[in-house]
Amino acid sequence: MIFRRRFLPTLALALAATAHADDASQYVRASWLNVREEPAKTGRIVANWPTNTAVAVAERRDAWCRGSAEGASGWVACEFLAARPLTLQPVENIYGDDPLRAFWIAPSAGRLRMVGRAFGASVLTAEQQKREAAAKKPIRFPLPQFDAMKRRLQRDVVPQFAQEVERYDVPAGTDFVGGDAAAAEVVKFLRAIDAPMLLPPARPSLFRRQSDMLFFPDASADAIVAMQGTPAHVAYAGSPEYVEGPYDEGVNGIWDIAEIRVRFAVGAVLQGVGRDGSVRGSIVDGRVLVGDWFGGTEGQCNDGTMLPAADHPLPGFEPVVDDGSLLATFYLPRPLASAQAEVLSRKRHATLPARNGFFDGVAGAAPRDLLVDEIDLDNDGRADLAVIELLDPDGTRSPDHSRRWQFVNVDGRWWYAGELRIYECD
Amino acid sequence: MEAPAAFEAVDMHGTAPADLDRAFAWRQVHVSTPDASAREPLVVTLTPAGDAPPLVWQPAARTVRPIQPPGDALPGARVDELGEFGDGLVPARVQLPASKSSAAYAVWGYVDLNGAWVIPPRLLDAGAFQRGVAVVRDLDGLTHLVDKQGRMLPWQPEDIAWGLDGDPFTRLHVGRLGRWVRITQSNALAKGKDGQIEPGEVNWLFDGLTVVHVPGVNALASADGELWVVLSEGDRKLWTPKQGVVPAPAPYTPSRPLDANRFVAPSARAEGVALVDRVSGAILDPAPAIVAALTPSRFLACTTGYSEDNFQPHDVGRLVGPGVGDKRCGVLDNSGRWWLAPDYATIDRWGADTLVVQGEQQACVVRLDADRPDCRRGDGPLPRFDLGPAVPRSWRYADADGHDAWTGRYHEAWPFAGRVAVATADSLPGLIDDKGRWLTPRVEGNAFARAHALAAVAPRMGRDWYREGVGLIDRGGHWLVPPVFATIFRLPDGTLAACSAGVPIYEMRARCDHVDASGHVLASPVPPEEAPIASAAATPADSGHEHVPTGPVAVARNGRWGFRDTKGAWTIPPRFDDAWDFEGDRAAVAIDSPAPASADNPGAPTRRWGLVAPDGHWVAEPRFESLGRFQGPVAAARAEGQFGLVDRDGRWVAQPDFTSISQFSGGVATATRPDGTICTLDPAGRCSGPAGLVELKRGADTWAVATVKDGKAGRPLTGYLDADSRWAIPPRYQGAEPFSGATAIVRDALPADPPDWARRWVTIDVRWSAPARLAIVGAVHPSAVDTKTPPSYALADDQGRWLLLRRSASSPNP
Repeated sequence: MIFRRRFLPTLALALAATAHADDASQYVRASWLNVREEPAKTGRIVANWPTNTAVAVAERRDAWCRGSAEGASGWVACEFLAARPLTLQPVENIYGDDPLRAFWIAPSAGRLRMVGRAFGASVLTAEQQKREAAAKKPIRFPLPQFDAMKRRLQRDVVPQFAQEVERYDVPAGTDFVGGDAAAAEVVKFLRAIDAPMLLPPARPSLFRRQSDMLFFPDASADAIVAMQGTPAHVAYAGSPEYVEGPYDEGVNGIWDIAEIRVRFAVGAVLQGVGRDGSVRGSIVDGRVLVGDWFGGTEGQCNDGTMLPAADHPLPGFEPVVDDGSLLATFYLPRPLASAQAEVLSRKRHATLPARNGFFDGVAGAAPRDLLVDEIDLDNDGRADLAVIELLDPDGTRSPDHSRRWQFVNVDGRWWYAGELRIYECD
Repeated sequence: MEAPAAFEAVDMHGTAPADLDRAFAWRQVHVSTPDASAREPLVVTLTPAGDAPPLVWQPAARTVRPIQPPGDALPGARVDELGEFGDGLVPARVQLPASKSSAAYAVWGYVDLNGAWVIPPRLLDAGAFQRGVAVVRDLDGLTHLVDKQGRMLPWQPEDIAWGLDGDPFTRLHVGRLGRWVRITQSNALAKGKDGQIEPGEVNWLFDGLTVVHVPGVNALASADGELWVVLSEGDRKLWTPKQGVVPAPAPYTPSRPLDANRFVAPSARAEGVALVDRVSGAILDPAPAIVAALTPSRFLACTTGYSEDNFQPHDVGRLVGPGVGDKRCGVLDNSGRWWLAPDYATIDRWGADTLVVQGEQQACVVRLDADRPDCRRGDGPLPRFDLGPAVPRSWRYADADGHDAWTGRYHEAWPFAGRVAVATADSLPGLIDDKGRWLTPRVEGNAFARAHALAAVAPRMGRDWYREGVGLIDRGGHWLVPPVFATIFRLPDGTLAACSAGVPIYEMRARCDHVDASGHVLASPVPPEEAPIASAAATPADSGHEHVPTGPVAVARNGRWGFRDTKGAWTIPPRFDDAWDFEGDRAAVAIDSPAPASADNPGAPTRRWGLVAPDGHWVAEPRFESLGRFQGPVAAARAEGQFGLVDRDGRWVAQPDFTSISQFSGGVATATRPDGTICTLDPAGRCSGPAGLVELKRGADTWAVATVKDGKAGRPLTGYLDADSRWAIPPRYQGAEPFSGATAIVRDALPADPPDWARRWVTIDVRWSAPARLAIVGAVHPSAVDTKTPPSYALADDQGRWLLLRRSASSPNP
């Protein structure tokens, strides 16, 4: 019997990233803008400026602008400069409707992977596809833009936390903004069960900034790098494979590679709290993004992007083991001070909303019991995390499957930070 | 470099028309799309191959006017290229010669149908006018909208380009106003070689308002180009010219807004996209997969997913072709209802607002801009596609009885327009008459026809595969609304909406009608989303069992459960492994004890439940496998895998003989026996109800929906039980919903003799329309046929006579 965790996207408003520069600056609105010695396409290329680079423009000549940025100066096509930097749309576009554009605005390993996955056979000409199909092996023709993206990630990129992690302001009752229907259903559900009233009063305690903690379900490599604020080392490995089969035939990979390996500058602190208040800890050095969305071997239970539960022991703590016993698992910038937290649990009654597509098979309003856990990590008498778990109709907890909604107290305010769904894999 | 095609103007007898006083070789030809109802003339622009100015030709008026540069143009300026017609204006390009101050360059402006300049040539680029506005680029390269007077509208779409300078990959341009331009990555890369992306996926959205989507910015502009609202990027604010910054409606999806209440989202069920109500999140199309937006308010949808590479819903040509399986396609409106029932295996697009649909029963032309799908037959024999085992599969023309009108078989066949139809044989289209005779030599490329016609649509009576419908009954089991609808649902104001959406039982019922609680169809159907929220006449919804703790509350500290009073003091210290709150003087608590490891569950503890008093002493020793919350005097308990009811001292009130017991509702619970039958269980442990019950559905109403197995047919039948578990309405329906107020919605067999209103004929006046060739040739005259395959063009009248023919360089006299 194998248990896997499936993580639904968290929901909340992610703040759009903005670049900062003085008012006279123009911003690059192209992906990888060539900077030339002369105001002509024949001019020698002296530099490349990526999206949103702030360019101090000194002169304009016809369609060409002379400017300086990043220690270089030269001529660029004015049409690729604008008064404002580009931003991602909130929440739904962590990876963007247009992954190519999303990458250039907010470069990250995850977005590069989405771009690579989006490059299907359609980027090949008919003749190239024919050749590939005949050879039954991947033939990857150069895609200069993808190469430019790979180079971009080598420039010490640090994603912004707010762009990588979505949280929902529970007490504000702000409407959810985003395109994820599943997340919207969660919000409806939390409202219906009056989730804010189920949580204890929030008072400032351990976490003062959003980036002070990262729930395990949110922990993409990009999110961890954003939390750490230090660039990670990104490497590209492997080659695409040609998969033959009646159901899935074709090339499997991230365009011309198979893996993007991210190694954190410093090991990420992974901690977990058991229901008995015991705290575990491990250090995670890096993460491997595999080429296939599902990993290709274990079906949908393996999403192919999960971090290893633990790489190294964290002194003073028992290691984090993904055995289903932990109430909450999360990353921190630095280890907790104590290996013992306090967990207070209560059972609360709620009526699941009628006509709720969120719960299959529940046609009408249905009474159910919930388990509400408050977790005080620093033993100051103030809850730092909270978990609401749906109990089975008979009021019991099932070790095989459960649905938990996780909350974090950031400077005296509860933020909904995503759903953890545990179910049994076949 | 390919030599430009040459054209020759000829009259319908093949000689040069008198109003074109010279035979000419034309480099470029555009044909207008006249609005026949407004009696607009057909206009043709002809651009000669040489340096002579382009001509504006109005065949009906027999006028030909050259388009000259405006009077203030530099000496030597000449008009060398024309764009597409739009709103009576034609973009025209003026080549300006080199001067002392600048090199030679070209500028665009607009001329009217008489060749007079309306917007002087001061633009770097100019698109076709559409709905009163056009997208232009000024001499600084900035993109603007202009109205027909050439005024820049107060809105500047953010023209964003992606790519490497000199090595472009993904260069994205706003196409034109009124179109939401979404360029997929594959398109971008596939077409990126020239640094310019055709608006390959253009979605029309919104009636009256149009959505222009530019990555990073979403804007809604009204049809006349007025900026209506801008959805800002990150702060969830809207900006409107009239109101300034206002909070965003919530929730909205910035990337794909459709209107205030609708957006298009990827469909989870099949390929394509679905209509989603942004307020409720409900998917509005119940079964089909939307293929594409055809117009702002019309969506091509099929009963099964349909996708095809290079699908271009806005190009003239085939959208859906006869294929494998029983896929049928129709058109949804933007409420998610069938506007054109999904009865068609073949759908061709003839123009911006015109489809030609082909089903088993009829082929017809429908206008998408009509309020209702006015489907009418062609003017003569109908084209039919043989889907059966006929080899080879082919098109033919059939008379009203379905018999061959003649023996010809065609690769493609279009309905007759007037006396002619376009048919394709050996991949070459030509014109045929209503006897099947070829009127013209077959020419290369596609061809389309146009005419006016009237037709009637008969309601389609119950199909073989839809023998059931949904209707409305009263408490006496009498039909208030016969079961002729696909669905009926209750509205907040207590009325009901009856729809055939998704199930074309009766084609004329394609939209929802509103029915009051007595089953009367209301005179003025109101869309469900606009229905007023009034005092509900229906039974209030069941709020479920409310639990309010009446004693100490169960709290766990680090996994061990005890009880606290209202001040937070421990009344029973944490020592249990699980617990429920006190209900009066009883609380259920559990103790785990280590159990021998088994293969299935190694080392899992054994949990047993008992009852404690407020002082913590055991009232019932822990012996139950589970013990639920007390509901009144009893609680459900499990022993040896079976459920029963126990009282407050832990004694069995109902023996553990059931596989499950539901929560109590209305004073009773539903219990399931091991054989799968069920009964109504009261707090005294009595199990009652008719024999053979297999399902019991309780709402707030005192009558329960009860289902039994029909002994004869072996299928379930549904009826209603009263509060005493006696049949109020015996089981006879295929399915039923709980009563709400005086009525209930039930499903039953279609009536053998449906009411007259369900079998009315619908006569709709629909105009056949010309194809608007979006890419190159604009349109054709109502009495003309346009044929095209780049780079050849031709124009014929509806009698099959050529008006304009391509002249081949090698064969000057075709």
